[in-house]
Amino acid sequence: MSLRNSLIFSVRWHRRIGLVCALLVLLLSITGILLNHTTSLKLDSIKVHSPIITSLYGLPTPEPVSLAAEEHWISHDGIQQLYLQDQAIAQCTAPLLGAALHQGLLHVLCRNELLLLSPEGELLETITPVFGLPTGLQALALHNNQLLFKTESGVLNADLNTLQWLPSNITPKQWPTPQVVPPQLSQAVITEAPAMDLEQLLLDLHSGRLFGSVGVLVMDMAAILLILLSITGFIAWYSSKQLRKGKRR
Amino acid sequence: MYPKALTRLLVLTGLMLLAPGIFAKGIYMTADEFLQNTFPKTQPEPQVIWLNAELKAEISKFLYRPYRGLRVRYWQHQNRSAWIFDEIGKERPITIGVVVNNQQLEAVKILAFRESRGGEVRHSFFTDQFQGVTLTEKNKLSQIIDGITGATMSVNAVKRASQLALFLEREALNQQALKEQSTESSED
Repeated sequence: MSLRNSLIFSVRWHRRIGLVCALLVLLLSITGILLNHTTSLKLDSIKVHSPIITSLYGLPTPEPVSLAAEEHWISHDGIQQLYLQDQAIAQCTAPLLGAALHQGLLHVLCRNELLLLSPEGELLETITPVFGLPTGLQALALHNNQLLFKTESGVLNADLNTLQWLPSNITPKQWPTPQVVPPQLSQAVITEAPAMDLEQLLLDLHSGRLFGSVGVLVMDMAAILLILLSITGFIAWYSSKQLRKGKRR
Repeated sequence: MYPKALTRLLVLTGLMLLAPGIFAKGIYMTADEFLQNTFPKTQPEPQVIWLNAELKAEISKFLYRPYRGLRVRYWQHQNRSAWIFDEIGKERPITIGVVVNNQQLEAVKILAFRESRGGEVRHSFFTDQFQGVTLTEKNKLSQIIDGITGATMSVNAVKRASQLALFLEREALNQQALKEQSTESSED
């Protein structure tokens, strides 16, 4: 390829690439500058309350619920916090699916977690799928002193001493379902709308993670385009320099 | 010539960028498979070690966080015990299986890795370093474990899980010895 052709080719591609990545470069630069001054701007203490942002992060909408386990009220703030009566006792991932007092222990079923607590609310153990907790459990009930779990395909009877989950023919009369928090506890089960740190938001915008793996790929592409921009820029500069030299001679 | 070369460069760079992300996350072994590998003949029933406030305080010193819960499950057959923990590397829990034999680490396995970076800890070049490691009196690992560049937090999570397994196994043995002693004395 002659110097002239090389110059035309690189300038043409330099323009095209520049046009394609202009917006992304702007986004990268602005978020990059702000992130460089995170501490002085105190970005980590600025909270962003926006339904769009929370939905992008897949944060659950807080919907507090309660369940009665004999004389105990178990409540959940709809996000992570679990309450016994009006006391915050432990954390488990929403939704709250069931609660029962069995063999002197409170059994609380959340999504993919079974919490074993003392009647005073002290956490003894969390049983997760790692320890054999079947996934997709839907409800928990106590029937004739047996702990029963509802699944899509039937009922399971749990032996938590041996961590065995066996199919059962027993169907309890009723699977307790979470209900609206009783008025006397509604003050305690405070639900704050989820918010994101501005710093985290900027970081995820900068890396593209805010838009999932596609966002990351787009930002990767922007970075590659920037590399190509510098290469085509260099070729254009070098070719025009050589051409000018040639003309002078 | 240039457009072809550019396309190749783009494809290659894209693949290089994607590769670590794709292969880092995953479930490498289920808990059942881990226990089956550890106890191939007979899988023992799970046992429980209870933690009092003193033990929890000791544990929190090397975990650098309070331990949630009052009891821990484990599986034991003769001198060998298997432990499974979820330990957070940077943001997400890494499921780590630890086999302890006579107060020495026999094997460390990464059962599930959920972080986007640091998945190198699952490889045997890293986990093999733990073989034969014991716990010092100060609850530290008896040997230096070489880190992995770019995976420091995951490396530390695996080290903490190994410390926890060794610590709990020692306590489980103590609790069993006390139990046997009290049974013998009550029989007398």
